[in-house]
Amino acid sequence: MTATDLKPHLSKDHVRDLLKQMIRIRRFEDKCAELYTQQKIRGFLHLYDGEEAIAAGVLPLLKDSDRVVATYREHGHALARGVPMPDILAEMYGKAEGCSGGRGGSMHLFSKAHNFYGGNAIVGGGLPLAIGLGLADRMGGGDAVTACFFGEGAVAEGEFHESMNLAALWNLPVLFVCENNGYAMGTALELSESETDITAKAQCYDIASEAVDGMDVVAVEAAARRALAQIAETGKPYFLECRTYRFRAHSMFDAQLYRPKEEVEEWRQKGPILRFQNWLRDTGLLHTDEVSAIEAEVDGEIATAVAFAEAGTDEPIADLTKFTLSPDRPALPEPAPPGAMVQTTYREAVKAGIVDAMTRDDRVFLMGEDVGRYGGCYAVSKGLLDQFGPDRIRDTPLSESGFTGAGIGVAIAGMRPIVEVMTVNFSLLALDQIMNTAATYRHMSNNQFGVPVVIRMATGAGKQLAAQHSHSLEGWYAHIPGLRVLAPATLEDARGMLWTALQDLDPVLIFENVMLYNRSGELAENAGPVDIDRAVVRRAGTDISLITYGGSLFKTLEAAEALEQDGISAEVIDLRSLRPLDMDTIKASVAKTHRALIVDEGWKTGSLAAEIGMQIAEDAFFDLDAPLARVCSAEVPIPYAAHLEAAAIPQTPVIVAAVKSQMGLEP
Amino acid sequence: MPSLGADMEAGTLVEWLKAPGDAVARGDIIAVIETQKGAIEIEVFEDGVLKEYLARIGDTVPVGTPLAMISGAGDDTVPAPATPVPPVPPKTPKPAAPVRVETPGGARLKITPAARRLAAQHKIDLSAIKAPAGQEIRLADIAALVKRPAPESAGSAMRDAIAAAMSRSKREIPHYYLSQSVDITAAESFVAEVNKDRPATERLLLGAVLVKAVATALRKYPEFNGHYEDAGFVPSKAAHVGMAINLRGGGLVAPALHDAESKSLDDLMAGLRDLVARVRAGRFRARELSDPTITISSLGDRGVDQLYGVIYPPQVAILGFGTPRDRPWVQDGQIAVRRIVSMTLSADHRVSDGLRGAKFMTAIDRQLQNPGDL
Repeated sequence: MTATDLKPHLSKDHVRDLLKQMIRIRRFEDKCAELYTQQKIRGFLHLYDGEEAIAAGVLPLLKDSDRVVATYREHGHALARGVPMPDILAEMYGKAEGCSGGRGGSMHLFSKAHNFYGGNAIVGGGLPLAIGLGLADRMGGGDAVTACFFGEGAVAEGEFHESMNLAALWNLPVLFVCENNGYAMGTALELSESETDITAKAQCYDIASEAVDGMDVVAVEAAARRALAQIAETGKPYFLECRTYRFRAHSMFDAQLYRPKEEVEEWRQKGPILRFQNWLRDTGLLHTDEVSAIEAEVDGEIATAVAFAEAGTDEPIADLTKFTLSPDRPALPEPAPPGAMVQTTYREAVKAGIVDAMTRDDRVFLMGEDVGRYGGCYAVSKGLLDQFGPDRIRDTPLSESGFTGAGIGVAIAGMRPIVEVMTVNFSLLALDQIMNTAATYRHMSNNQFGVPVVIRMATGAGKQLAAQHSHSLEGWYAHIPGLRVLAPATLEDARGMLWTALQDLDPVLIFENVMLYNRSGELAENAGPVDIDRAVVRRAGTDISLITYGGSLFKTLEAAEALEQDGISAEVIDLRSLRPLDMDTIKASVAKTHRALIVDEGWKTGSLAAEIGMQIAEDAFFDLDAPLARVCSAEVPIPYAAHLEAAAIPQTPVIVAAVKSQMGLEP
Repeated sequence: MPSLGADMEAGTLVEWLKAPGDAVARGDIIAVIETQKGAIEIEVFEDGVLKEYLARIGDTVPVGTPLAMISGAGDDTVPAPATPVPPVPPKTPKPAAPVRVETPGGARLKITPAARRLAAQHKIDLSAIKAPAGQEIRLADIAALVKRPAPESAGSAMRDAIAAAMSRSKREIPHYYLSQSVDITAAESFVAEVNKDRPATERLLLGAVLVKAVATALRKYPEFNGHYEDAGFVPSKAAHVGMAINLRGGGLVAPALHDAESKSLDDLMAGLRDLVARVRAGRFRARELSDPTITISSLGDRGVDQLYGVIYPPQVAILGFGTPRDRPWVQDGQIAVRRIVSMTLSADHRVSDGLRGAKFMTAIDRQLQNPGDL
């Protein structure tokens, strides 16, 4: 029997395997509940009792090369996929021997060896990831399938719909398995969905779909065989709704006020193990003694797992931050001696960086809204569609979370995507994927998976685009461990940061200030990759350190020129990297000048400027000969009117005045 | 040049679709421009006649620049398209001067962290520092004190005074230096002769003889005796000879033996003895430090051969005497063993020249060859 046979062959061995897998999951979950009450397991614990037929019916059909994305109720999926039970239980114990090193717990089981891409605990959050994994397989030309499990609660999420659309639009080999247990946590399906037929939602995206009795392991397997066969044949996604029921509470601390006990009992009577076991007994396929033997085997395996978890060790606290970022860094680019200088613009420099990266590495591709036929919102990618084709200059729907998550998934699978988000304001729609997935994945999976994605976006005000297109939120992203955040200001950095960012094994966000795109200047014709770690002193001075980045750099340099007329020698530091911050360069400068002023287009409260100022106060307090100061944006949504917009963000005269005030001079 | 997008700053005219003389109506396509996003047709928003082109094919012009003149119905010409040049935003108002919020009971010294650290490093007492009204104490304020620290002990005050005076001297006075070996055999013999019958407490020392010789020579060479003030050199009639005296705790002072030119050797000796005793007891008068008109320094008991002094401002000369030694000396064509001392002169070139210095030294030498005349 092979997985591509359309019907299950119910040989004695096979039915025994199916039953054993379900019993194994059931008994493991029972043990987990018990261990939870003993406080061996903490946090949230979502048990799979009642839903075993789905994992047991689907997962054994997958090839080793296939990929699995699961939810926070994923013990059964991990077990059925072959992740060793001791590793899973040790994870729930929070031990270093756990399958995620104790960093994830019950909701975040990972195993690279099993292509098991986690327990994802944001409802719907795993779907864009699955899109990305499927996209990698589609672009890579392999025959792998990504099986993505999620509950019916996820279908209310935008990410579900974005992902359905993307899977169908791009013909991705993804098997969506909706485990419809009737309750989104405690909210019944009919209370949360206007259309309770889940398959209809997939069908409206033109995805082949069917509903199956999720309490019947044979029916599930048969449906999964049909699904996988169709995916193999068409390469297109398939949607399987498995109607099932959760026997236990949503999580451990749940009074189950939302459903009557009789309902639970009624479902138990048609539970997948009970039904299958009775049928096997009635048909004579499996003797009661043989069931007892299975139970004994499973109990032995569980006892072994408990002993392993009990003997587990704690990860040293010294390793707390280990794997927040990859311990491996690519070598710093060796700058070549600059060649002849040519006139260019920031826009052209960014474009040259993209072309260079795509030419050098066929894993690199650009995806985003209007990057292809439109030529990019800021015309950065104009003409690239003709050069590289629609696969590699990939227009996306207006679904920031979906395509950003897809970029993250495709990066995890080994590609090197450049995701372009039109503006930082739009990126908030993708913040779940950037923060909950990209930034967490390496640490939470104990370094099994990394996310080498590059996400570019425009930021900043000055083009009268008003309050939903003009903000500078890079400081928010700089708050997030697990990300690198860059702000190229010069032509060299616009040209050179991208390749270095793509070589990095962690997610890198590149913020391009909209006011810089048209900026022209000279750039060496052989300009290439630059480092993405260090701040740079763009102008040396002795009286005050002006610390800035991105769109404010040139305003600050102009201010320094003006201050020179008044005999004030200002040093200007271009941060370049907003996370991590190169505090060594800043502190060295402040040790020389004894004064610091930070110019940051972000809002003042809770700004990156506040962070830099605080670090100076913490580490260089005794170097200071004047209070720290900031020039930030006014605390308003950026207005449309030109004079108000200009007044809202840092400007050269304000910087000059602030410096004079700090120097004790009349502004 | 119309603005077609918030991020468009300029455009390139690539084609005219109307010629001068053509009638144009609102909504007509009049030209084609190239932008970052590609070629875009330009619509006209006026009725009239295209009078003349103001831009040529291929020109790249900023948004707001007139591309053509269109004469209107009333025959008054208007530039077209009539996209207004965006007004220059008014200058950002200057922020109000920061107001310092005084902490209630704010007796705490306002001193910057860097200043505080420097003060701590140099053990400067912060409570003794007076901040300018309404200002904090900054690094520069403390740095100034580090250069001239507040007196803590006589020792450091002495060192600071010497440092200040000698720095000023070297900064302001162009020194020149002369050296001469002087035969003091006669002078020593004279001293020995005088002391032959005297008790130890009344003995004459060679130092008094040197002072007298110098003071006597100064009568003919007044440019080495006096003070150089803002108005220039003021010679002194009296020779108040500063005697450099080392202090036991370190440092030195050079208080005056007043009117050395008119005193007898014995009076000078008494004065010298009194001065040394008082200096070493720390009881000399401030006037004695400011009065000298020339200084004599000797390291005669320290084995030093030559001593080039630094002039003590506002004086204009200092004489240095090394260690007297027995040396082979040619006298009257014969080599003889004589008592020789090195005499040096450091003098202020603003007041005198080397030739006069040489003559002055020779005059001293001559005095020392005839000590009985002193």
